[in-house]
Amino acid sequence: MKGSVFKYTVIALFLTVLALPTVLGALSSITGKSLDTGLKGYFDRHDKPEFSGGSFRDSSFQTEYGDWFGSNYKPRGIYIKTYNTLRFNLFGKAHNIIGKDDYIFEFDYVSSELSLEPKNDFSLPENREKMEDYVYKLQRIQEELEKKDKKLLFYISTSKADLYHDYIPENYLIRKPEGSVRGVDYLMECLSGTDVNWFWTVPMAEDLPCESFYATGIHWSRPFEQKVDLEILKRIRELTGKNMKTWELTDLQTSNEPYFRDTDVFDMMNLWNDPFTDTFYQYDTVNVEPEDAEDVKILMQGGSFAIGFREDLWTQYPGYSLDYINYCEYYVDKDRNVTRLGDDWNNLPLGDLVENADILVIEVNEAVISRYSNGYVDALYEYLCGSGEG
Amino acid sequence: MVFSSPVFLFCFLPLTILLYYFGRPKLRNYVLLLASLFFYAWGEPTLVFLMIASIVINYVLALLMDRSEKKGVKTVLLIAAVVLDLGFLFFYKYFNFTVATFFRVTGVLLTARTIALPIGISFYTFQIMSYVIDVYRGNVRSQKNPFYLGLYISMFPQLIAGPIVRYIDVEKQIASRTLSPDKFYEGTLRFMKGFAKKVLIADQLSSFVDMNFEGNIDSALVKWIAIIAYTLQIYYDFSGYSDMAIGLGKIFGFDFVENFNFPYVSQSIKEFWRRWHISLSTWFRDYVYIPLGGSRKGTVRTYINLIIVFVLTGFWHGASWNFIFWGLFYAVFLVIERLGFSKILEKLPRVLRHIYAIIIVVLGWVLFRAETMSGALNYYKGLVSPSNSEILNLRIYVEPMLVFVIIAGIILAFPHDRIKAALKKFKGYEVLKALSLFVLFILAVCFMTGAGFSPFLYFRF
Repeated sequence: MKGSVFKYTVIALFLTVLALPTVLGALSSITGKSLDTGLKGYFDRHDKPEFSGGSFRDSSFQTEYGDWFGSNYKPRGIYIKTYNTLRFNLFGKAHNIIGKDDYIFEFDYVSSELSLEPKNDFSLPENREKMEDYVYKLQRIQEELEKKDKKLLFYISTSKADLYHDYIPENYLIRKPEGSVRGVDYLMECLSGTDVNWFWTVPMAEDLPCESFYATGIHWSRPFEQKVDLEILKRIRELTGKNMKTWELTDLQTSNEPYFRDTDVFDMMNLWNDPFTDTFYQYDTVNVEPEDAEDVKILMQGGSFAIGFREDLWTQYPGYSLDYINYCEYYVDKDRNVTRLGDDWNNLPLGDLVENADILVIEVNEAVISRYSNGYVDALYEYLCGSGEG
Repeated sequence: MVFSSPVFLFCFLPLTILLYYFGRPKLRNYVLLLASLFFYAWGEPTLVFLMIASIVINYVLALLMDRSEKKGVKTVLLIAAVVLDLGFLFFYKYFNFTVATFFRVTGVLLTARTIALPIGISFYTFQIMSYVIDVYRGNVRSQKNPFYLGLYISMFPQLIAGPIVRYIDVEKQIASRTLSPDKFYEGTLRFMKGFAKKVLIADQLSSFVDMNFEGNIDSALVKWIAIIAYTLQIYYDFSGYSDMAIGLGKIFGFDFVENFNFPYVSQSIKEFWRRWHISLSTWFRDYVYIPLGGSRKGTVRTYINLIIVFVLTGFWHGASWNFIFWGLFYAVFLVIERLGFSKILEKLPRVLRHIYAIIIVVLGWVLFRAETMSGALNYYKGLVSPSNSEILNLRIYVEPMLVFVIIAGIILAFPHDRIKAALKKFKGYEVLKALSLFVLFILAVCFMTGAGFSPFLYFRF
């Protein structure tokens, strides 16, 4: 009898696992509650396909249904988090690269730091040539802008893989090609031979009250970001000569909850664990608004590191005149209207934006140097210098 | 639809079990038949009709064969059935290969449309052939109910990856079978075990193996580890699938034949083939080797028969020269063993016999896994060509999780009879076994779900 009860229990448990997605799905529809744990990060979404004889015959229904069901059944989130947690805690494995002291890296950052892919090795003549052309165009763009009484500011945001080079796992470190040259080194070498207004953010990492990059984030810590923001403002003020509004950093706040993007890559790992870093830091700020303050119209292009500056500026001064272009993916105006560019500069009113701006700021992260600003510099050069030159 | 997919596990299977157990008992075979046809049509929406056609044709031919009293007529009907079955198999599986080989040999390019291979065609063709041959031989009566024959051929648990079930083994079960909680329980444990083997071991090794066979790694040591990993991957994948099939069979009241019996404990190649893919090797034994004369027609003829059977066994696995050579490779070792090497083996310590067999098997898998003969030869070359950075490559490519899975795979490939016998003496053994399998099943569900999830930080526009 005892044995039978046990066997029935095992059968019931097995059938429960099989039926759980259907039961939870139905309950979720009735109660309107998720009944699963949420997952962080963006991932491909799939719509439920409509059934038709044709779509079944050509198998597209089956593929789409499999994709839709596979990304929507409950409790998928619990299964995924359990899978990630086990792999990470037992074997140090994740979708990202797990380095020493559990420092998390994304592959692109490590690849560019160690020149793991040919495009990131600037000892190669074809890459050097591209870089020289890129810097030449920056120089020419600056010259043409100055003729219009406009300025150019170019800055290189630091990569976690650079500042925490020693934390990269050994099995990646040993793959660095012999004699390779990092993009950032060759870019700075080229820039040093020009008059382009540029700076590298690494010096701002000194004297920070905390790590410049937490183990849990791919972006810099808030104090680092806040110091870089002030450096950008200082340089804009110097270049334009305008007494623009700014802010000061005051008291250092601490929190067990992450600020902004302090745990972004950790969050994406979707673990049951708590973040490894217990304390996060951020400076309080106070606005500095001179009586004769003048607004500077900024046109900024860059990636997620530039978004930090954008967000801080708009937090301190909502609606400040800044147009932001993310790589060649989308453009956001000061009212936060978004225009998708779809990797085509023809979708951007570049001429209007340039003519409207006092200063053009270009941010390039060390990890994406080999993208050459996604063609933005070429598009600017084309607009300002025309195609006849070169 | 594969067993280790959410659609199968959470949609198809529970719904089929529900309809099967809560529908009218008389309709159970029809429920299972419809579910099986749907299962097949999910992956092969058009070619499901090819399978149905094959069932209908063989049903009619077997029926006529059974009714005919003339041996000559029976033989003609059998030939018609076999030619049709092999014709379908040849056309869908081997036509492209034949055209390509013809071009290589003659230089004449025959313009032919590339023909897609229907899933499971090798398995169901062999099943249906065993049926008509057994009817011809008088071992079984023909099945009068075409739906029952359809169920035998298309039964989803064993349709796409075996075991190759003989009609003679399930004839009575199709007509009448007992469903019991004990059998359901047994089937549940077996399914969970197979699912865990497939997802937690085989699938965890696949990317490392693929990377090596794509030729991206220049390291003899890593290549050796990769071929050991593949040895485990193919075993846990295939035997896991067979476990799931046998388990599902039991859930629906059937008893299918065993397909694997710890093949890697073998101490000779002969023993290996008694333990590996048993349903296929016994099929070839009963329907090819013995009709060819087996070992009854002298030594030379025996060797020729062995070579024929193993070349066909290789060719059955895929339309490519490396499968043919894989079969031939085994035939050579079987002949060598028969020539007297087995007697030498018997005198060797057990461990050396085992090492001999496992080395041959592992090396054989290179032919099986490589996409082409030149790929296989390059891999063999790589195994004996150490690079200057062997240790470096080990550190790069051989991760702790891989090592763990390989070690676990090796340990679990042995039966551990003594340990099992000792454990069975404990009162809670059955409970512990069931709970362990349930935990492994849940883990496998997590791994199946988690493996395909890779979020990104920002939207892709």
